[in-house]
Amino acid sequence: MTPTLWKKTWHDLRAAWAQNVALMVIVALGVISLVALTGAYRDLGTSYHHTYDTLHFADLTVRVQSTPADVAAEVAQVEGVRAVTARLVMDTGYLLPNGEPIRARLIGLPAAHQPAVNQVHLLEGHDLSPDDPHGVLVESHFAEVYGLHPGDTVTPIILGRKQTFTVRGIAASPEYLIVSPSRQDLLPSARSFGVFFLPLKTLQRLAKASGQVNEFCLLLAPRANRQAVLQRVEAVLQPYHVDSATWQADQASNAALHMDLEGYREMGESIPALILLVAALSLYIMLGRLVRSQRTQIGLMKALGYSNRAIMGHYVAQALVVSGVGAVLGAGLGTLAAGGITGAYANELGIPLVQTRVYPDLMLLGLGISLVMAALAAWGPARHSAHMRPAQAMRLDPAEALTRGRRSLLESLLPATTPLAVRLPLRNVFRVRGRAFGTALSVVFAFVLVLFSWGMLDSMGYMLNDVFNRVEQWDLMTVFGRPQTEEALKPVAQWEGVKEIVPAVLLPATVKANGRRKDVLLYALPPQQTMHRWQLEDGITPEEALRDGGILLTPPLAQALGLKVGDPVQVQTPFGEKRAVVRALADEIYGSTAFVSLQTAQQWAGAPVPVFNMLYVRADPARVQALKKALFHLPGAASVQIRSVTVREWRGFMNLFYLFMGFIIAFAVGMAFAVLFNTMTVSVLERQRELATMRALGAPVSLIGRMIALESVVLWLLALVPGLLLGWYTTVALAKSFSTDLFWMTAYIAPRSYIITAVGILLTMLLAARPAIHRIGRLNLAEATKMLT
Amino acid sequence: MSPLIALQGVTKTYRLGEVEVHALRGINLEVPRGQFVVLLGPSGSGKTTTLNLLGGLDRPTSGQVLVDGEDIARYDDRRLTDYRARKVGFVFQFFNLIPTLTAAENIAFALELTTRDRAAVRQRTAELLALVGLEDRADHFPSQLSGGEQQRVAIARALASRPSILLADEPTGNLDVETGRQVLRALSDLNRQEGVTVVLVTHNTAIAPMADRVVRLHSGTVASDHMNPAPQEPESLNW
Ligand SMILES: Nc1ncnc2c1ncn2[C@@H]1O[C@H](COP(=O)(O)OP(=O)(O)OP(=O)(O)O)[C@@H](O)[C@H]1O
Ligand SMILES: [Mg+2]
Repeated sequence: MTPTLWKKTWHDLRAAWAQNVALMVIVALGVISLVALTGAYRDLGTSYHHTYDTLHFADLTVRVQSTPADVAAEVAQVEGVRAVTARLVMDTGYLLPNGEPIRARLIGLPAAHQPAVNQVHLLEGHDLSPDDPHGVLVESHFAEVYGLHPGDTVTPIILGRKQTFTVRGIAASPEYLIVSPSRQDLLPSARSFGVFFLPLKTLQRLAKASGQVNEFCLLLAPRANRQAVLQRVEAVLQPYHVDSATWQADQASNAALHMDLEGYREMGESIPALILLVAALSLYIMLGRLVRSQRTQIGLMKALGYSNRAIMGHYVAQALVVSGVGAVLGAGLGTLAAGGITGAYANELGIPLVQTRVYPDLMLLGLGISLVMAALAAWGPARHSAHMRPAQAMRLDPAEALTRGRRSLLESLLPATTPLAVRLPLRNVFRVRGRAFGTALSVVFAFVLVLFSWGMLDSMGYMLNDVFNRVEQWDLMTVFGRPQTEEALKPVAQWEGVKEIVPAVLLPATVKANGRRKDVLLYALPPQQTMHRWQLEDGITPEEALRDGGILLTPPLAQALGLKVGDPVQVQTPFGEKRAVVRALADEIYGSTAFVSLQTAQQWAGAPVPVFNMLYVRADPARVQALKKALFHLPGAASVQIRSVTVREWRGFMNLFYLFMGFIIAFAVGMAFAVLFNTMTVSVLERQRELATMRALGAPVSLIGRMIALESVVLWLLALVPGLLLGWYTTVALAKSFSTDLFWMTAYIAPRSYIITAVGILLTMLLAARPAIHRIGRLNLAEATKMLT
Repeated sequence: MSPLIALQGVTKTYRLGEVEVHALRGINLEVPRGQFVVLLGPSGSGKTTTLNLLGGLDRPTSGQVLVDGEDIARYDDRRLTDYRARKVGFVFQFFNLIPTLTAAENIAFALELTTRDRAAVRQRTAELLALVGLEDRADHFPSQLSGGEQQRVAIARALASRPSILLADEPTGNLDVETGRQVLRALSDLNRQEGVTVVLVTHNTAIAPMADRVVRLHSGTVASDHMNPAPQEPESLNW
């Protein structure tokens, strides 16, 4: 390219600055969304690993029965063990100030110094101190729920007696980034489970276990053979009865965190990429239009003797400048934004030590896609024009050179008396072959971006409200730690406020089929009960679904195991391996659930009298709290859930989802708006001369505005059906990808959301055309009617 | 009888940053009804500027633009739009037809700006197409018409609302001689037969002999103003 051509490149960029800035905004938004959203998602992983490293999160945790603390020295000697901390851990109860019992875990730690393994991160107050035997640290999630601060008192129950401690500090623990008592617990809940760290000596004394510990937390040497180390450790601890050995991957909080982040993978990686893709495609469509409208200029340049290569270079350079500036801006702003978004995510997840990084690969990806799209967009039309004979390219009216007038198909549907002010907009939509498609595609993108945002929110609401409330019809649910006979449970039915009880069985089980296996919670219920109302496929009754050895699975479970109705499965239960037949599928909020009839379970158990470990209670709402307390005091009761609290906990658990969606919606809606705005502006500005001519002929601006509005409506109608369909499919794909073993999400878009999306996009289009119409109103007609482009 | 058009002390100054360009420096010109005026002058003398002011496409910096005794420079946008729709017809150098409308529809579009009577629109469109000799091109789109045909459609369009004034800026500037003559014939017929006042801007002096009156501009002022006692037919012109 010659210096003059570079100068022209610069001039052209400045002349069409409004369009160029708009294009830059689109590119920048796309790149920001990739760099910020994906970056923040990655930062989450980085941050929790960082937290684990810093706080020496255990590689292996071995639970034993009461063991002298000095055995730790022996464990430390085991080859492959890098560090060990011996602790006393006690699961117990806790009475809230209102008398409500919840679960608590007391962890006895050395008071003088941080433990070598599983350190805590002090967020507030002071560390444990040997001088303060009744000073405890409260795990941060629990402290947050109940507003606890240093100086407050807490009252866990130890060996049946309420003990009073003073809060010294609030601490985060790598073991409780997500607060979950065990992997068997469905929902993490800081509301009903508190973790307290206290001096080991104090706990030993109160638990009457002087000098004893029951848990060894180990860090392994970097390249140790894990299984061999475990065997050696178990050998050392053999005399003290090893209860369980848990690897880091299976640790409750860590496993939940992994599953959580896995569930957010699509939201963290695919959606930002989708937004960038929309930006790139819009850039392609709009830049292509801009270059095509330069055809006269191209003819002129050819006539002046510029080579095709120089001309194409000129336009490609313009396109690269626009998209390059947008992308670099986006990368910078995206990196800045990522920090804030990571902070918000980490705060919601309770990750104490946040680490943010710069991701050059994301920046390069954003920049690369933008540049390639821009180059392609400019190259095609520039090449096309450059290869025409100058005279042809230079037809003085570019609109005319470009536009072969023709009647549109749509128009033939109109009555013959339809005024031109109506016909013209219809024709204008289709005036250039391919462009109507491109423009409508931009509007389709907007539909998809807005609709899947609504769709994800709707789907979540649907699962949390509709499904949960339709399925779960009990008011209280008690799980027992040991089997109960019907005789023992019967009296509950007579309690004040109790309307109905249903004893049942809840078992951990593994369903196996086709060489695959899935851990599930297996409920055994009488088929005719109404506490848990299965959402069964059309016509099947619970009696049919559960008759002789029938098992009920959820659709995701059946899918994961490659099962369909009628298939046999193996079920591994605490009573051994059993056979069952899939008779039906049922929608459940918790995907890894299976059901058999109570009769089937009792047969499997083979006990002389039926036994139960779970009790559903339907009760007078006013009595629910009191009944919870009473149920908790039944012998062997391990936990009591109140339905309304459980649904609230689900919601709380989904806060991260809403946070993710919040950021996504901001970008998606912003992008939709930018695309619509650009589309409308370009399609008006492209025709400035034509519109100025109409005004010179005496057409009022209001008429021109109405014609453009009508054009928008036609465009909107074209995009409506494909837009809504694609939006729906996107929602389905996202809902599926968000579903995990823990939470199953069915795609659902409320009719209202379709309407709001459709109307919102139409209004946005009309609004987006306004500045351009306003500009037509202010055009200098003398100049605009002479303009070449 | 008062003149149809009267420019009184009209100036137009363009401001380009720090620089002021005095396009018109005080034009005084009266055009009676029915006259065929050719505005001549070298490039940059202010011809187009003058025509734009007459057409209500632009406003003067000072002075009055009286049409039928009313100062259109004082019109607000709405009245100016109405003025353009009813009072004047504009013919552009580059035709400026709407590319997505056929020849007939381009004319009808202008008509529909002032009337809702469909039958009247159809009839008048046919009349105007006949007037410029393009009945058989009614359903052609601009891209299917020659330059001369496009310009004749543009003239027909300019006449749609039966304006009393027709303004044409270099209407033959983009046409060959033969086609140019056809366009000038159409303008001449309008002037003679329909009594439309025509102001034609050109730097092509060869066109001057067909006019009733030739006004020469120079540096934004009227340099000369001659009546032509014996206007010639367009066919006899050559350039
Ligand atoms: N929009 C504008 N901004 C600044 N200066 C202008 C503008 N339009 C015209 N001029 C200047 O005003 C003067 C008169 O311009 P005008 O277009 O009326 O000339 P003209 O006689 O029509 O010339 P030509 O024969 O070349 O068309 C010129 O010096 C021109 O540069
Ligand atoms: Mg001029």
